[in-house]
Amino acid sequence: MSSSALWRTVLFHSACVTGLCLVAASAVTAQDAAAPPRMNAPLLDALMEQELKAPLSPPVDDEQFLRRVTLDFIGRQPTPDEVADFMGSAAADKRAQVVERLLADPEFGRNWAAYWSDTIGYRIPPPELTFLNYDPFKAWLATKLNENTSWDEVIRDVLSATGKVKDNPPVTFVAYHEAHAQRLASETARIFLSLQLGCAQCHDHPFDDWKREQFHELAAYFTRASVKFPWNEGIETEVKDKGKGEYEMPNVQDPTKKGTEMTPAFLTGEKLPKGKGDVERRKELAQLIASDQNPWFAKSYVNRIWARMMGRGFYEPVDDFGPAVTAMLPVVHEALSAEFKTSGHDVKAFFRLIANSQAYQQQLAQSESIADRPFSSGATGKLRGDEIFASLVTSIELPNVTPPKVAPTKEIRFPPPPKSTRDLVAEAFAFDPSARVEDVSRTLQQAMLLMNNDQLQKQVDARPESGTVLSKLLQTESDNRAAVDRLFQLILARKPRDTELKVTLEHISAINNRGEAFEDVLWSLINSAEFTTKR
Amino acid sequence: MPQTILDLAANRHGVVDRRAFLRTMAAGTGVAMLGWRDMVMAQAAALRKQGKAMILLWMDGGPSQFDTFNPKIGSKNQGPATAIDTNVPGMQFADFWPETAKIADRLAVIRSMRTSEAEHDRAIMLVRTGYPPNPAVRYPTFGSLVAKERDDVEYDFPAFVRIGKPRIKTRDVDAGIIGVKYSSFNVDQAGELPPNVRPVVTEPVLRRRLSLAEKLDAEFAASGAAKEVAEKRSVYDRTSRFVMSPRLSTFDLERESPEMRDAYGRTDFGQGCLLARRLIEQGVSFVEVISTGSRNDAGWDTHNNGFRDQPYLCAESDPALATLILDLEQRGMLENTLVVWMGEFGRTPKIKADGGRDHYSKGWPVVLAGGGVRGGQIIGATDFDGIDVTERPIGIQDLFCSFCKVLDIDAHQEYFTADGRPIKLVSGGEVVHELFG
Repeated sequence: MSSSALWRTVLFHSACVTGLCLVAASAVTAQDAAAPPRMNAPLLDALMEQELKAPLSPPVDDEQFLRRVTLDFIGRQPTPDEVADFMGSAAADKRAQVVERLLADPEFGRNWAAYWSDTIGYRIPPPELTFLNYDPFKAWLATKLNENTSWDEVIRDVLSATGKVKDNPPVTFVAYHEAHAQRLASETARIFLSLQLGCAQCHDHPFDDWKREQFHELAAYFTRASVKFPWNEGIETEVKDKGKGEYEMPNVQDPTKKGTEMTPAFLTGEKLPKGKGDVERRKELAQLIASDQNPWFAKSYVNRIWARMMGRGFYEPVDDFGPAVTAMLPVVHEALSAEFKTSGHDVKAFFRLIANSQAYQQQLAQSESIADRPFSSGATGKLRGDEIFASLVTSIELPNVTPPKVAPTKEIRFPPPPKSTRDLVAEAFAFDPSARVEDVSRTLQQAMLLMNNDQLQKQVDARPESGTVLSKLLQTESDNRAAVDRLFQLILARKPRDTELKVTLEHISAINNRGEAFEDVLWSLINSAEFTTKR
Repeated sequence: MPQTILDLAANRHGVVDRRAFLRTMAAGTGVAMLGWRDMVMAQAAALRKQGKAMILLWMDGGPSQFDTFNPKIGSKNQGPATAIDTNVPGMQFADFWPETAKIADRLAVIRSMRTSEAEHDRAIMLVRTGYPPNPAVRYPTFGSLVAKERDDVEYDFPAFVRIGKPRIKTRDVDAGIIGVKYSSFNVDQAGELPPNVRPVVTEPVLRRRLSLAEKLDAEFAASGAAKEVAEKRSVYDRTSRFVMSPRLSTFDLERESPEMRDAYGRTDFGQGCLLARRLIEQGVSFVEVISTGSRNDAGWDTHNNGFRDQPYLCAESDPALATLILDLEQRGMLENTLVVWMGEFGRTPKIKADGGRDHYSKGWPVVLAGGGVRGGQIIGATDFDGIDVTERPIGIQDLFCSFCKVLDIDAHQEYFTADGRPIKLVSGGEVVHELFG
């Protein structure tokens, strides 16, 4: 440390002691105002290449870029019109323009609200006799994301809301976890900080540095919340203040004995005196969680979004970044996290930054050796259930049919809520967004749905009277080659390659019935690996 | 003798392969050169590989021990049932079980289950997973664990099938932490194929479509997505084999004689048990059949009107249970199939004003048959009024260890969750040795 820096530190501390803390601190900040340079896409790419010690793979072509970014931002593939507009544009910054268009699309909020709803809901078991409903939460979060509310504000709402789910949807997180202090401590740390504290519930963490007390001090912030579950209707679930009581860490030697009363305290050492009300406790915790001073908040968010867009995270699973975990490309992770903080947790700016980088736009690995080096090529990703449903709607106008709601009767007191087509598709393809990519596998149910589902197969009908997208396409396009071309654009948002065109036309000429042949082609495209994958 | 051998040869790939088995044997060494003993041994090896199967008959809601397999005649807690003799001297059942009484010599009746949970959701978690409820871990149901143990990509049927729906949807367990891959294949209504199984086009059309899709995947694979395409292909191979399997007729109960269908009882549960037998015959490892009475969503949860509903519920369960065991036995399958009848707990000794009983987890019954279980015995006992266990208390882990013994699964082996946490298949417990002694 240079003598002047030492001097400054000494001055700072003595000033605090003498009660001049505020003035002195701001003076020091002003002196140190050489703020880090803001990150942008070219800087990110340069940093990536520096850290990878290798060049990035070349960018994908326009068609593939448009499908990738449209899926990532608004959760469906682009329409043929969108593809045509994009391909027709000669603007040098046309990719950046698309990014702006998608950020302004209300579907952006809907898509990422679904991601967060899955993230929170996937591990919530159904409570006794209540059917959980995440629709209000999704609608609320979609609006927040579309308005580009800063991420810290969003999470503060999620952690501190109270009241009924239908009136105040961010309360969903606390409500659906049954206001259970230990579950909430564990899930808050896991989802928003990538810290796995669950083990510390019963004993000091075996690998990480967490002490058992720290887990229970965290749980103490939630101890005054209580929940009332209604029969059947999840949206009537209500969180209220218990009005009294302190949190007790259970006695592990003898759980029947009285535990140890804990003072709420956060992992970074801040404490809250006992005796505070529910909302005050949770607001205090929310401040600590969604804070610049919190070393994990920005890093956890950045890694989640990065993982979903890039096909893998700096660390995986995305909900485990304990002290024992080492991130890949830690310098890039750090720089992006710093940028996210500096931006005031600006969600859209972060998406913009990544999508405009070459790192994001890289093509898939063209050789084994490149594939073995994470982030030096693009990576495939499985689409989430709601993305697959939206893609089916976009491509073949799959209708969303919801059976009528069944009212409870004396005999059937708990009729399950009806499932719409969207629900069925979303459930079949659902996975835990926190899972490692390699732990998400395709299933028999998914294949059966795309192969045989009645409603879906009704759209694979070439007869003119069916009124399907396919039948209209065949009526307006008499040339087979052109019709194949359009069908590929409709389903995969790209033109067929020469080999694909050849294979498809051969198939058509072998069938001897144009309608049937094109039904085969449409079916095969929907059942292709590519349709359910981001490339 | 040859007929017996043919029956023994039912392997994982089901009855259609019996002849194939003999062909293989014939091609390999020449059937004439093989003694019958060699053939039996070879077939036994095949069976070991297949492993034994299990059928869980689930009395959803918690059946009353007083009105089923532990009647308390003369006690103030007796309830609506009287007792009847069975074909085993000294062994009595409630009189709602006339058919089952005739085959008591095949049954081991545990009367002394003692568990810690007496609320449905918590008890279902405990009794179906072997672990007490833990909000942080979604333990897998036993059928999913068996499916994981018996994972066989060559097999064209699901390893774990559930027949019928739980009476209340929020009270359920699934594959949990071991993943959807090991979830049950659900047949909500016996006799009907679940949605999306039956192809909407003819087999030749489906085959040519699959083949075109595979060709179209080639470009994607070559562009750097070889792994995605390989995974998709393996799932589609398995799915196509299933949806085009000639053995899908297994799900069609019209193929059984009307007499057979009547014997099981023309109820959802009865027909479910018949389907269970048909599935086990085809090599399915674990089948669960849910009994709810089909009239309401109270099922066996008879808090109210117990006197009215017990006879009705038992009348659904009794012929189905008895016929299933006899049917398996007549087909030579009982030795290789463990049948278990149980619910999540029993009912309170005290009878409420309207004849109902509440939840009770001290001294509830489980009935087992087949899979090497010695029949004609009662294990454990409760006191005269059925208040608590007086002999041989048995915990849920003990029961799970016993299931594992029959299924040749190491009960105390560990598996790992996605986050690397080791979990024992069954935590603690000991085999209930009387079952096999």
